Amino acid sequence: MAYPYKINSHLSIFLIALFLMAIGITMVYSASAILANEWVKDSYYFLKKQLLGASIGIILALLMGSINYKALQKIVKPVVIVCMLFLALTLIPELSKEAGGARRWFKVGFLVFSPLEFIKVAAIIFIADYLARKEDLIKNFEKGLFPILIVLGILFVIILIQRSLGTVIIIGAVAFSMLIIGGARIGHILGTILLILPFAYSLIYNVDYRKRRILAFLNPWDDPSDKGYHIIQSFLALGSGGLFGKGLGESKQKLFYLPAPHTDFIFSVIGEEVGCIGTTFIIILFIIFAWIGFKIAASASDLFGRYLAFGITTMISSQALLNIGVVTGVVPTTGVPLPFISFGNSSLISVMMGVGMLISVSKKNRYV
Amino acid sequence: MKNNLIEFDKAKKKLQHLSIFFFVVLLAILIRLFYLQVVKGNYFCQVSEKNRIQLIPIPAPRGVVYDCKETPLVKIGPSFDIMVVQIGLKKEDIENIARKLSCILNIKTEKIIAFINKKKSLPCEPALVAENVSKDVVIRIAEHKMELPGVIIQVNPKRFYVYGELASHLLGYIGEVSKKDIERDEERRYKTGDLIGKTGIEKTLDDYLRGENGGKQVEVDAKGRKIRILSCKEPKAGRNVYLTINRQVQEIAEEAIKDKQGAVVILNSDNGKVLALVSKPSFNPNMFTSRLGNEVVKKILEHPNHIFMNRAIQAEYSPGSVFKIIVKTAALEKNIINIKKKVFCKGKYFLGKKEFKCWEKAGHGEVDLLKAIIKSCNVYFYGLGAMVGINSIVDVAEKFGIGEKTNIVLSEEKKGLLPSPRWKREKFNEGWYLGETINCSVGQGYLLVTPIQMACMISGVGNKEVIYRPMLIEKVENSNRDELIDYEKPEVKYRLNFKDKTLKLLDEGLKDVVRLGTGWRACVWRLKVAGKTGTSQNPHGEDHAWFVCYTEINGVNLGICILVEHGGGGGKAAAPIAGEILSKIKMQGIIL
Repeated sequence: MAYPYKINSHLSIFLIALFLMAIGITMVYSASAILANEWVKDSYYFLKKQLLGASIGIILALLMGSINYKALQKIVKPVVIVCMLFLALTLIPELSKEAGGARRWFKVGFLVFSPLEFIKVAAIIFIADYLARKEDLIKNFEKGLFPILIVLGILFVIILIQRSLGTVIIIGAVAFSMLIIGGARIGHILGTILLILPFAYSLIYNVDYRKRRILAFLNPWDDPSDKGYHIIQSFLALGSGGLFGKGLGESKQKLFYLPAPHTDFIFSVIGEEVGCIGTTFIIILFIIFAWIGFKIAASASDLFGRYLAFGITTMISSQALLNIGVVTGVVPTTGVPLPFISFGNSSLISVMMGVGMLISVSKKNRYV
Repeated sequence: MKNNLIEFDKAKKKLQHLSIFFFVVLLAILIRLFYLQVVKGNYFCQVSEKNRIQLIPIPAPRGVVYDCKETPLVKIGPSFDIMVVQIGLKKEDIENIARKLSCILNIKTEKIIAFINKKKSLPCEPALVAENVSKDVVIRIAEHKMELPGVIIQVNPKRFYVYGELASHLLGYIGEVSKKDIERDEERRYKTGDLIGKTGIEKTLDDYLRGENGGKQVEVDAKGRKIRILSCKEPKAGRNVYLTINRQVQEIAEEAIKDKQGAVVILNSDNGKVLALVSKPSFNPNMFTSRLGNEVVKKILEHPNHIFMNRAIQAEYSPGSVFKIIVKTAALEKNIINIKKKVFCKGKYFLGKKEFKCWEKAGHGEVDLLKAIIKSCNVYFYGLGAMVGINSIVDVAEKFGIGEKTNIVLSEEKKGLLPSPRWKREKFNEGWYLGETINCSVGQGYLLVTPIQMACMISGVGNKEVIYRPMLIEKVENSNRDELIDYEKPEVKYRLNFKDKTLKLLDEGLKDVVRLGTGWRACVWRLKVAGKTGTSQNPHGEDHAWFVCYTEINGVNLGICILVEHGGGGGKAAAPIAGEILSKIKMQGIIL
């Protein structure tokens, strides 16, 4: 396949990931130092953890990049089962850790990790493998599409028990995009989505906190001290940054006004400290990342590689879109971390594993 | 392959459709960002500068701890604190103030300066100089107000342990939450600077006692002036705890043991309520509530006598002759001895060539079972133990809860050790020797028990049917005293199921121990006390003295255990303490 493709894309995607991660480490420190000092009297507390996560992430990315991604096809089923098992285990209170009303973290000794972040990657591998094997059947609803929809449905129910709508939205978006790319009929997909809508509606309006979030999204200024608080604080942060920002470390909103300034709302702190220039720059970095990712997918040497690369790129870019959408008030509040940048080792490590798979796919297609 | 390429083109087309969708969302976000940051930037900037929300914490008052008669043992009281605000003061001024305060407060000048300097970086915040000062000091400072600029008197809530050292191990103390606690705390209950229970009841019931801190969200302008209160979360006061402890009994017990090292446990054998739980040496928990730091605390921590150890539940000792109660029970239950049969004690017992001594060097002469328990004759029990066998002894000991935690609510409890042939095989991979059975029969060897276990055991003998789990918490109520939140129910831990004859002989024997035998010092006029002395040899020095007893007093059945570390003989050192406690309870007519 003589695809006009000369840039060393596995190197460039790795460099962009590193660059985004470096921005993340800087901003996590800036956003969390005072908070951490107040909380555990150690302003480097989150920085240290993020550095650890980044190191593990880089090592895993390089490791994944150096093995053949086709090996993943062989271990996909056990991986998915183990991930689901961990997910189920987080429901056992003795083993898990609760934060913000959701039970999503899993404890192993001193390590705390969230299987939700890893299930995203595992689901992508699983769907890619399925699409590659059932290539011819996917147009057939009963034999091709229906089985995978059932599996996804079960997965979504388990994740919703963990009260993580954000993860479901991400996996759902990625899965449907992959199915469309994999050849499923648009009509089938749209039909399925229409069938799901009533469930989604009841899910949102029956869960009090989600309903409040949606209402707050629709009109945040109605009640600035309560429901709209998060979004307004985020607007204030972004707005007071202006075009050039207040300068690194100068954010005032991060000082106990902004919820989770180092995790889900880190983009607001970036906006306040480095302004519109900085936020646009980060968005451009994500666009380049997505562009290279899709190129890797397009020139993959086999179907599995293509779907895998496509899925991972879609996952990372849709997470970025959703997160930035939340903090700018374009999308209702959902807890999704900003890939590479938000504090959180599980997210960082799983995303870097994805980058490693992209590298592996990209390396193969150079020699075809 | 060709088919593949056609598919590929189709996929590419679909990819293009998808990316259009992506870019629409992206564009929306970019426009939004531009709108928020550039177009509306100035506006938001002003809002952000003008409207500041400040969070002012309101700490919750900690719950009160009462005894069973609703006498407060631990409460919150006002503490008059002397503070210095150093803003606007020169170095000489501060030195001057420190010198004057030093005269009034009786603290060294340098120390006061050091306290003030702690807040050097925050000159607007008052620095604490002295806590809980007397009214005289408050008056003197008020009189000299003009010469002491920046000195203020603040009334802060402080935790008071009303009776000082009384029941200090049981009540525990509070202190600032440690970094480790915060990291380990998954529910994020604590924040740096919070006070939490560190030991005893303060720790066990911390979740009840602590309450929930409240806070105010106050909107302030750029100069920090309050504009309005946005929301206010009232602090939830901690819950009040009522213990089963009787303050008067606890006081009597602590007076009786004086300054000896040891422990006293007094239980109600009809329901397991703990009436007194003493561990000596004790400490004064009031020292720990100081926010100034304290050298005395460090001294206590480093003290060689392990002052913090709650000896009543944490210290493990050989039971000595107290264990003969169990061997006797085992023998009677197995029904293998003629209780009238006499053994001649000449002060020694031989197993092969190995010699086991009786504590009475001259020997007890002819002894039967009753005399053996009255005089605590080792030789008789060596033989009896060998006859009964280790397995039967272990069976009975298990029924009495030896080697198992009593599950009192205090978290620091130890479980002691009940050796058995199986235990020895697992631990050392060795067989059990008869010599070890013989040692065990008089409560020596591997055997280890805690005073609370012994108190439970003797309560069981007194109760004759069951042993209750020792309970400490009468009830937990909310701060308005109108809602019952938690309580401990009497809970049967062990059922004894011994024969009537066994119980009768045991009761008679133990009564005679106090009437005629080694426990005569625990004899109280018009009180039927049944007990057993014990002397436990140990490698660290003088023997530990034990005395356990049960009796009915003012209509309540009590089980008592006394332990005096390195006190010598149980009859001499421990029994008189029990005697003193019982006679005082009787004389003072304390309603239990």
